[in-house]
This record gives sequence, C-alpha cells and structure tokens, in this order.
Amino acid sequence: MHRLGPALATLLLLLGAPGRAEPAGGAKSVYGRYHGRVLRIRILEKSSRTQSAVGSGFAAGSDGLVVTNYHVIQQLVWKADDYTAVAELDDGQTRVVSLLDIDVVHDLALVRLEGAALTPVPLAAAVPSKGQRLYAMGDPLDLGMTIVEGSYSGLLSEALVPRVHFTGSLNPGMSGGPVLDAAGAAVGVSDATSGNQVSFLVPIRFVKELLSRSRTGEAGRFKERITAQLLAHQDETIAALTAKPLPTQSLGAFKAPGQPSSAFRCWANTNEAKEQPYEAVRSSCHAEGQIYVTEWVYTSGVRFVHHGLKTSKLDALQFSALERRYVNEDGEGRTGATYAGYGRDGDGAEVTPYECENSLVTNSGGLVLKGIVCLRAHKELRGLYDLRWIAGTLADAHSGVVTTLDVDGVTRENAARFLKLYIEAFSWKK
Amino acid sequence: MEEVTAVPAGPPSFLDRLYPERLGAASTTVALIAALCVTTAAVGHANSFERTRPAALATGILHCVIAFLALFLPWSGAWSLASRVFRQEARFLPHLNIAMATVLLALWVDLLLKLAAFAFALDGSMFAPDCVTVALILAWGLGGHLRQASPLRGAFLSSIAAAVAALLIGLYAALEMLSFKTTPALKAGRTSILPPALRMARPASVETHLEALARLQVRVDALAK
Repeated sequence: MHRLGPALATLLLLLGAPGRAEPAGGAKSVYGRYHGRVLRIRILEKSSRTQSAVGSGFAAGSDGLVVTNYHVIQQLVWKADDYTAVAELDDGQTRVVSLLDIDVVHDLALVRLEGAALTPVPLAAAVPSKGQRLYAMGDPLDLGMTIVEGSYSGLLSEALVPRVHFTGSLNPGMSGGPVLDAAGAAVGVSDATSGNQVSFLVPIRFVKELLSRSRTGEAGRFKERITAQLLAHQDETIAALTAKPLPTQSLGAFKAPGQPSSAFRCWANTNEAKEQPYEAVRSSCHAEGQIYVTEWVYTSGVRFVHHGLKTSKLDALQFSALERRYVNEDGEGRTGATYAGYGRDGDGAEVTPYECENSLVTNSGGLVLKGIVCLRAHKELRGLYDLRWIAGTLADAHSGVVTTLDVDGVTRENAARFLKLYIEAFSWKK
Repeated sequence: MEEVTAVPAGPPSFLDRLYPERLGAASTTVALIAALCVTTAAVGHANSFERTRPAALATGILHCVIAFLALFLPWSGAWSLASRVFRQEARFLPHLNIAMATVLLALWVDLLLKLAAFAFALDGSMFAPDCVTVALILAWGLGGHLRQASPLRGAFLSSIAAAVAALLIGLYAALEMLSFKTTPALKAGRTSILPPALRMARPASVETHLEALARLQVRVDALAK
C-alpha cells in the first residue's frame, strides 16, 4: 500500500482508471455543492518558498478548522524549521496553515487556516452500504480540484489500523481530501492506494474523534503526542495479538507460528529445483496496517518468514550447513540492512543499529532452537524499539525450520511478550 | 695442528621446538599435501548443499589442486628466492611445508572453534579467541618463513613475525566488524549450526532467552543518545 505521495504520480497516471457510467446528477452535483469546501495544501520549503509536497484537505469547522492526512503535513512536525504550509482556497486566495492536532495512528491531522471562514463539510452519521457510490474530491498531481467516482467496498476492520476499502482511483495530491456520499456527507478521508482502483480511506469516525478531542493545554509538542499515540496503539495491538496462543502451520516435521489474525496476509511457496538436494518451503505473514511516521519510519509492522527445510539426499553436516546459511543470511540471502524494512541507522538517522545476542533456547514443548535476538531503538520516538528474532531449529539432522520475525515500534516489554508467544508456537508435528 | 672440538649440541630452544627439522623433509611435504586435500575435500563436502555428493568431493579435490598450484607454489617460490638472496640457499621444501602447515593448522583450528562454539553455545564469545588463534598461527607461519629466509634470529625475528601477524589480524577483525554492521544476525557472532547430536550445552528457557532484551535495551538506548 502506498501513500499518495509524489513518487507514485507517474505510475498512477499510467495506470489510469476505466470509465464509469455516471448516474444523473451524481458527481456533477456533489462537485458543484462542495468544491468550495475542499482545498489544496502545499508544503513549502521555507527559504525558497518552493513546494515540497501537495495534498488536499476539507473544511471541518466554521472557524477555519481543516482536516487532512497526517502524512501530508508531517514535515511541519519533524522539520518545522525548514518547512511551512499554506492552503489554497477555491477562490485562489492562500492562507497560512497552523497545525492543531494529530492522530498519527489513523493518519489524520487537524489544521487551522488563519483568517478563513469556510462552511464545513457535513460528516456522515451512518456507515455506507457495500457498493454505495462515493465521490472523492481533491487535487490529483496538482492538476486542479477534481472529483473521482468509486464505490464503498467495506471496512477493513480486522487490519491493525482500520481502513475503508474504496474502489476508485485515488492519485497523489488527493490525500486528505473528503470522500462523500451522494448526499454530500463525508464518509472517509482519502489516504492511500495500491493502484488499479484499490484505494483506502480513513473512516470518518476517526475524524469525529479528532474533532471532539479536547486540545486544552496541548499546544505544540507534536513529537511527544505522536510517541504517546504510538505507545498506546502498540499496547493495544500486542495485547490483542497475545490474548491467546498463536495459531500454527505445518512446515515439514514441525509446526511454526501461522496467521495470527485476519489482519495478517500470509503466503507460501516452494523452492524445489530439480537438481536441488533439499526441499524448501517459504511461508511468510505480514500485518496489514503499518503506521506512517515519516518517509523513513513506519511502525506497528509485524511480519515473519519461515523456511521449512527437509532433505533425504544431504547428510547431517551438509544439512546443518544449509540451515546455517539461512540463519546467517537472515533466511533471505540478504543482509539485514535491506531486509529490515524501514528506518535508516547510523549517525543522525531515525533508528540505532541493531544490537544482538545469540543463544540456545528451548520452549515448553522441549523444542531446541538457536535464536538470535536483536533490538534497535527509535531515536525520536523514545521508548519504541524494533525487534528482530532469527532462529533455526536444532532438533533433527535432516529437517528444520529457520524463522525471522520482525516487530516494529514496540516497547521492550511488548517485544518480549510477543516473542515469548512466538517461540512457544514452535513444536514437533505430532 | 689444533684439534677442532665439536661443540656439544645444547637442548633445543623454544623456537627450535616450534620449527622442528622434519618440517623440511620431503615426506612431510607428501603428508601435508594429503592432509590438505583430505581436509579441503571434507570441508567442501560438508558445506555443499546445492550439489550432489560426488560433485562436491570432486570440487573439494579440485580446490586443493588449484590452491597448491596458485597459492602454495608461488608463495613458497617467492620465499625461496628471498632465502637464496639472503642465505644463499633456496630451501623450497621447508617454505612449501611451512605454508601448507600454516593453512592446515588454520583450517583445523577454525573447525575446532566452530565445533566448540556450537557444542557449548559460545557463539557470542568466539570472536576474540578466533582472532587470537588465527594471529598465532599466522605468526608461526611468518616466523617459520623468516627463519628460513633471513639471517636474523631469536627475539627480533619473532617480534617481526608477531607484528606482521597482528597487523593482518587487525585487518581481518576490521573486515569482520564491517560485515557485522550490515548484517544484524552476525552481530551476535557468526552463528554456528552443526548436527544436533554435537550439541553439549543446555539450552536456556524462553524466559532466560528473553532477558537478553533488557541488556540490548541498555545498549541501544546508549546508542540513541
């Protein structure tokens, strides 16, 4: 899933969108009534006054309150000295944007336009029905205010962060714009796309929660607020994931952690070349709904990869060399730096390098594994860590499982809680 | 005519014991070649999981032959030249044997350290012993070559060998540290995995294993400051 950032512009342009029959008065009517309440937000580099990012927003209160995506304005939080933001109204006037509040988990931000009195877009009271026609408004690719038609395809409530599946073509620049029903009530906020008309919206209930939140005494300190929100969210996520033992899946002679919940997408494939003297089954799961923090930092990711290895042609030493290769190369033949996903380590970057320890471990089922546990810290998001655990079973001379687990943006305690459950899920297949 | 009295041979010095006379014998050359070929073939076989066994063995023997032709012969030839220049004797066989013995020792020690690391779950603490033993073996090899090629003797010669070995091992350690930096799994030491039957150490409980997280937290928090 991609945020509707500039990088996708060309790709998404090429993808285009097939035509759709428009019901009489639909898009035209909605656009006519609401285009004055939707605005373009430009993030400007302060010294050159040149735009760095473009997004959309919509009026949410008569006193200049505007809702947009957090990812549209994130530079105002992390690089406040270098960037500023302005909003362009329908009549061509511009207003300075000041940041009021953030819901980083649901990718929302509340801003105020100085000296603007806008009529707010009404927020829908009910959830649309599946297949209902919806209209996304925004400024795709900085081409001007546009309306895009699509349909409501349900709430992805099982994802770690709930999203509305919108079957319509969202493009970069439309982020933060409202998605309206035929009556003109906002049912969601344009957020992300996977291309081919598979798009995602922030459910409108989170906008209502953001608007109703008390902001007394909360001026500034956005980094602290983001950290607090992420800490609370990872507590909820890990509590849900550890509420019961992890389901398991069979990999050769072993059982290994399987799909933890319907928030996870799991895939498997075999890697069995004709002359290869062993069988390898690769099985991976990753949670839908990572949280965007900056271009380089996503949190709340949980993903794991197992390699089930089995042979009747290799002897014990050769098989152990095979297992060793998978463990030492993170199971993927790639270095950790590229596999780790997000966050740059090193000086001045977002995360520290990993620190690791290596030991033999046995779970309550008596299965012995060689486990390498690694941790790195987020420099700005204090208290949040990324966990990596790489292990290989040491139970059989001709079969085994090598696993790599990544849990991003959790406290050390929650990392331990999930890892314990994960290790306990390995067993011999009975 | 003055009678020449033979000076009675004293007990062999420490250095003499390190480099016995038989290191220069042709029979030693044959034994070392055989040992090297068997060792490289065995190591090649044990580490081959993409090929069939006959191919692995053939590759191991081929590696041995290539190593002999491309590594040991030119290396020993160069040292022989130095011997001829400084001591007016080529001493090719002693140089060849020292080179092969050094590599053989390094291979065996490496295997033993890997076995010990796996058997006793010492992966995390093998980096320093690995560096020290490799340095000692290198120093022994260099010292042997210098002893054959140089008129120098005793402590001075040993010091040169030790200094060069230390330099090389420093380079090796630096390269290892660089690979640790890019691969998290290696940060805990290269993970030794051998057949389960060779494991002697008792595994830790899950709770004990997870205690590592608290230690790691302290380390990464210090890095984050």
